[in-house]
Amino acid sequence: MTTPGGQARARQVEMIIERLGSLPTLSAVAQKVLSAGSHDEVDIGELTTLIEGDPSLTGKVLSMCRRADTGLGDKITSVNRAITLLGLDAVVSAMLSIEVFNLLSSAQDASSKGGFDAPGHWRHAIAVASASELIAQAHQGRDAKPETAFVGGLLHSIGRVALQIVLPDAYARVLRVAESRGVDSAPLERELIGMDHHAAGKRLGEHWGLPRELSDCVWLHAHPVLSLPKSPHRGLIATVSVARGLCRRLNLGWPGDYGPAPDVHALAVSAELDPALIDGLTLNLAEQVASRSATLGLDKVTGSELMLESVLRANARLAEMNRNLTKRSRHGELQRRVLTAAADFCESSSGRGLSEVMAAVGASARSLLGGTVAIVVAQADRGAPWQAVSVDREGRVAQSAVDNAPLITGRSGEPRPAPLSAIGGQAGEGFRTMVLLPWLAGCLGDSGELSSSAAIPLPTADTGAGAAVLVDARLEEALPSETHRRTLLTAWGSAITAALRQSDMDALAMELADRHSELAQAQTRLAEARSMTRLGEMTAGAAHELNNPLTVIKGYGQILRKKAKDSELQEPAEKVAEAAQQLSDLITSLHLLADPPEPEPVKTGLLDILNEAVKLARQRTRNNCSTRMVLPDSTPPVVTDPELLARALAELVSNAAESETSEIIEIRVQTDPLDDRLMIVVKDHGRGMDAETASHAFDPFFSSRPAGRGTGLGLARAKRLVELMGGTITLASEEGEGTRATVTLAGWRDETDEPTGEGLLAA
Amino acid sequence: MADPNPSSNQPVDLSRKRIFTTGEAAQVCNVSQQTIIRCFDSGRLTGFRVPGSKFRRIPREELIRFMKANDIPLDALEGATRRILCVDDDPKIIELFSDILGDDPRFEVETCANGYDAGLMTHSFRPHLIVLDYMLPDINGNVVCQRIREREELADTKIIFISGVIEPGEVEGLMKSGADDFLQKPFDLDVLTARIEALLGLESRSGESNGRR
Repeated sequence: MTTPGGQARARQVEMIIERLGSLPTLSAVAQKVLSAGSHDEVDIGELTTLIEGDPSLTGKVLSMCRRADTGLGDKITSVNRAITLLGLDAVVSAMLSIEVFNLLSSAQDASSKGGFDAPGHWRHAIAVASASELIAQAHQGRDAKPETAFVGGLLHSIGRVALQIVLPDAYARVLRVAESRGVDSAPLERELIGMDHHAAGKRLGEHWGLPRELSDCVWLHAHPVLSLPKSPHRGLIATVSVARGLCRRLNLGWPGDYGPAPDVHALAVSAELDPALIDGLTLNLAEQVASRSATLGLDKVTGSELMLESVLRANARLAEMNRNLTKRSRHGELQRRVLTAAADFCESSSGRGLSEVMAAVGASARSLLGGTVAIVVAQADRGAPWQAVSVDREGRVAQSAVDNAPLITGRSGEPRPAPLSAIGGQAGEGFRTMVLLPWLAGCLGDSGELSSSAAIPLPTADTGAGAAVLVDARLEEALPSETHRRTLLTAWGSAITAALRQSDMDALAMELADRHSELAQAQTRLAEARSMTRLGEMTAGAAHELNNPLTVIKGYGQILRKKAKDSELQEPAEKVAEAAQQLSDLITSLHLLADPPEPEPVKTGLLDILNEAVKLARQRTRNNCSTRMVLPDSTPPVVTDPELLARALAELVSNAAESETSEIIEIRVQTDPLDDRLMIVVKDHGRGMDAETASHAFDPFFSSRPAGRGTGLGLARAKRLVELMGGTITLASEEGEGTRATVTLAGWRDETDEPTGEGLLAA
Repeated sequence: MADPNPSSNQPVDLSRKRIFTTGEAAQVCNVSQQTIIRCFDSGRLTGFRVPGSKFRRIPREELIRFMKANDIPLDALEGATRRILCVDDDPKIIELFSDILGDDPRFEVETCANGYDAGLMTHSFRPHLIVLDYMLPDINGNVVCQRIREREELADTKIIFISGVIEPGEVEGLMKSGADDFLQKPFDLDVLTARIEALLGLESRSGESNGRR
């Protein structure tokens, strides 16, 4: 574990172990006995001498031995005799019990804290010890010896004592929590202390040098028998485990656990013990416990008293359980109501508009809190208008209103719109009476019920939004549980916040969509520009490389033509030279398309540009082109690159001229009345284009005409030039109806000019 | 074009001579030898005498100065043909130039394939006109052009750039380096001839005074 909590926990466990080590150790006698590998190796004479050297110990051991077997009681008069009559194991067990009990109970006195019932604990320990012994006796011949079982039972919860001694406060807390939750203590010990009493007991056992079987018994008695390793002392552990279950069922002593008592029968079966035999032990048990307790110096109680006590204890537990159950069921009912209300609300309000959500909040408040008024107020942001919805008895919207937020005086003295979120602040009450109620009365009309209603602020997650519910019912009375109140208010508040944000999000999403499409267009343009740049570099290189051989071809073609004057070879030689020149021109055109010159806008008369365009078109079409211009009465000068625009328009006019029409090509100039863009329309009355042709008309080398006529670069070049000047070019055509090419230019007016108030259309 | 032996009776190409005898100078200036001798002796035409003899010798530069000072046409000195240096790294283009211009009796054509050789040739060949390609393997044409313009004795040399470049900006740059004209490859033969004739002040033979660029 490397987490800080894990480290703290590890340190605490280290501390527990260290303190366990500082607990007093067993007496020399006990250590002597325990240090021998088994009881058989103990020198009986020495042991007798040692025990008898301590008169008090001797008395207790003899007393214990006497009570262990009533039939021999009177005959046990000395340690030596006890060993003879009862066997060494019985004497050692008795001695060990006394030792441990003395040690721990004395250490415990100093640190006794609330929650730990020390006499009850020891009585429980003795009860488990006695029960273990009885079970072992009842199952003679099995793995567990009765004497060892007694000690194992007695010691099974020494870890609890150990933890209580070393961490009195923490352990008291564990016990309190276990009691209030009605659970066993071990998981809480692990959670709160880092170590449970089973592990602590094992450590203590090791510290004392207890035999392995006893240590394991302390450690593992709470584990399911079936999960225990197949060790020789598995029987002992199982015996103690069943005995513990029995004592808990009979409420003998204080077990320190508050969870449900284990099923003794099931335990017995899994431990391969006889449930019927165990049931038969219960009668003897109380007597045994009373007698053993007396021996160990606990308060003297009789068997019947002990039974009574255990019955009382059981009764008290039952009563407590009953109380808990009632409380839980009440709590459960309310919880069910709140959860149902919250679920209904969430269902009715999710994904809807603000006013619908506010109405749903009102209806929910009405049904859950009662009262006669339910008004929901909300504000999207500080400074935003306030919105209110009131709900009638049936949960329907009675009235709704949206109005500017009431003005309040800010710190600077300036009036500013009141933030509705102030209702949740320290001055919320004043805000309610001075600001909120007057505003509501003004918007919804005051029915007199407003002033008595409480304004419950709804959480809006610090979004700057504000929301509140006004009800004339007491929230605390309707929903006593803080958790329930918070659940519900949060559900309402977050629904309103979400609805407020939803409209923002919608606007944002729309803007995002716009940006997205702009970006996509920009990307297309960029890709186009990139491919054009690449084409430009390529054509520049190609031009240089190709023009040398073309020079040679053309040059020798011309030399040949001269030398072949008046022969039949003259014409072919001429064609060779011409073809070389065409090829060179094509490369130049392609290069100009890909890498046109930067436009240099100047103020020019539009008519000059149009005339130049027509002149260029005539040159290109060998005068096979007639045009008519339709111009507004006055044409203000345009700011553009006159040469480029003229070239672009010339391409359009040439293209129109090639549309196989005898009719005049119309060049019309107008401005878009909406946005003042300049539009130059070149219209022919030729055969037009089908959709397929129109969609490719601007592609380089695309031509609907038979190959060999023109380079197929004209429209592509026109588009390129117009776009270079920040304009657009569109084609509208229908087959047989002619073609309209429209060049649109924005920002064509000279902004430095004094506005004359007359545009192209105004004239 | 070996330097002719001045003592032989063969017609002498005076256009390549560095040192002139008084007889040769008289021939070039179209005056009598006596006139030359008088001018030499009076110091109006400076020169030197051959060591160990009294023969007068006149350096070419001094003769040109003298002729210019006295308004004597340089035609006889320069010879009838115009020397044209064609510079291009493409041997086929060079061959084309030789074929076009070499057949014309008015021109004497030399060629080279790079800027370094072009520089050397201006010393030995002293061309009247250089047809200069822009993209040369060592020094670009514009640099060659600038260096020629820096040399006073080549002030009258005309330079025509010929290039396959198609960037209008580059053409402008070439003209700024001191060229007299520019022709785009592939050029028209008649246009090339017309431009050369125009620059060298020759009468047009092709009948085309100008052509497409």
